[in-house]
Amino acid sequence: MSNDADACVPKALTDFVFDLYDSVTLSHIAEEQRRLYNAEFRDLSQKYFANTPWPSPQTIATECNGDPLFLALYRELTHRHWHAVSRINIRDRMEGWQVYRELFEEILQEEPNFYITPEWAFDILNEFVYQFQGFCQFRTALYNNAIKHGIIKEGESFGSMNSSNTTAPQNIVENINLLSSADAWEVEQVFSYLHRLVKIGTMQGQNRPAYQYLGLFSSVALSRLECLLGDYSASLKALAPISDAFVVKKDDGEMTAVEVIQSVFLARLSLAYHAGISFMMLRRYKDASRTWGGICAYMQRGFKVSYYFESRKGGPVYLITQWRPCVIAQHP
Amino acid sequence: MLNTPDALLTNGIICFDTKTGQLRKLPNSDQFNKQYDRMIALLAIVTHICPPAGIVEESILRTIREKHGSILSKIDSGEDGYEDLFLCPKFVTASYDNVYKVQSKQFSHEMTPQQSCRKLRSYLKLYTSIAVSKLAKFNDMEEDEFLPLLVSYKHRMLQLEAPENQAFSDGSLKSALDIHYYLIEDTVHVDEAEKQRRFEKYFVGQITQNTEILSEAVAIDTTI
Repeated sequence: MSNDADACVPKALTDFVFDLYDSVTLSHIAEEQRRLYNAEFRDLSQKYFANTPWPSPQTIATECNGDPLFLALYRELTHRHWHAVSRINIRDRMEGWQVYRELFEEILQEEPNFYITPEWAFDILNEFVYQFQGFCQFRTALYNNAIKHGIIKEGESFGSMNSSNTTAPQNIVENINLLSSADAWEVEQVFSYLHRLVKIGTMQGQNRPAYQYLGLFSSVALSRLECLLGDYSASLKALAPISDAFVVKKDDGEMTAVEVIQSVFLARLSLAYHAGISFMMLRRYKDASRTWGGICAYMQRGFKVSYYFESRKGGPVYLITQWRPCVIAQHP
Repeated sequence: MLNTPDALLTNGIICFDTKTGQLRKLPNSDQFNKQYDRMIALLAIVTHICPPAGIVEESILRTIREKHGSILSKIDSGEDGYEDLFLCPKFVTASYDNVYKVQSKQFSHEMTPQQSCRKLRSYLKLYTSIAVSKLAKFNDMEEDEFLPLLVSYKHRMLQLEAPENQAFSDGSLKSALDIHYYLIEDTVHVDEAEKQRRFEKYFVGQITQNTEILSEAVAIDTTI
């Protein structure tokens, strides 16, 4: 997916990579990293890579001293962007697995000078489960297609493909061959990474915020994954680390695990939605009502407050609907 | 007001950046509305089968009635099922099967008796004691067909409930019913659970609503 042909990387880009690297490994200033990760990355993406991939990690390696963890982070960030702006094919999906495997292997080596913001940690884990879900849907669709074209008999696996069938559409045969050639997105492995991240992030004595964030958001991701796979009790059990008893120490004070989740609104939304589904499917209607009712009331209050606002340059008048909860979430 | 970051709700949420003076779209904010609508639909289901008093805010119940009131009354009259409101995630599996259908089917299966249960509840609320045969007749059922329903409703609504500060733990088994009933020989006796009157919440809700309407009215330009 990466374009290496573009050897001449714009200066704005190398500066961005250098600054981001600095915020991850050295300065650890949340506000600065948030600006780079949100605004700057989006602006650069819009300007240079609206529908093309970002440069490959090798191209920018000199900006970060070839740091393997940062390169893996960069690869995930740019792969996620590519996933969002393009029509992805099976190779992109399978590369996705490599991207996450590389990143998690690096992270699990416990790098002492590593910092990412809660939002960033959540985005990585959320996308990980999202891509796993997409891969499963793709595989099911491919399987049904293969049955329709008589390449596989119902109830058999991809391995028993009848390759002598020459009338079968070539793209289906190719995709099946590709899927069988590599063990991408195996569910045990997906679980294993999430469990290991939870363990390392929530263990006694863990004092690096980045690992704690990754551990907590892995619980949210795990809960969603269990829910998607239909194990609703496990989905709720996965949320055990998210309690007031768990504390993250930051430069400017402390945050409980609940507050960390609440600081990233999408995480809170994902948690409430999936936990609610799990409650409902377990016939726990009261707890489902409480979970959904709470967050909907919170969002509804956000929708309502509206007032007029005039731009400072005397420009047009906008009707602003204030979204207090989210604004707070973005500016904790 | 300009000192606080402000947001504009359109297709997603636009945030006013106080540093640069620019309006920016919050990343992924288009998902907020979608998830909100899904949860309101799901809430319509759970609040319909389980009395929501004291759990869900009145303003949310109002939203549910406005958005899904017509489908809920169709469900009550038996013309429709809960399926259209079941906005679940896209379930997956590690094998090749399509589990999405399996889960939806399971849900429908679970919901079917709930429709007769709701009807039963509405009759139970009218009486303090009533003969089983009479109650069965109201529900258009034979007595021996009706008794299992009477018992299963109680069983069905006995559910785990998480304690207050541990939102996702198992908690303990409690009845989610707001009525209590028991059988002595051929008569059903009904104690309505003590009505928890929530005047203060009602008043605060009405006051808030009133303030909103007032501020909207004040903002209307009345100059000719």
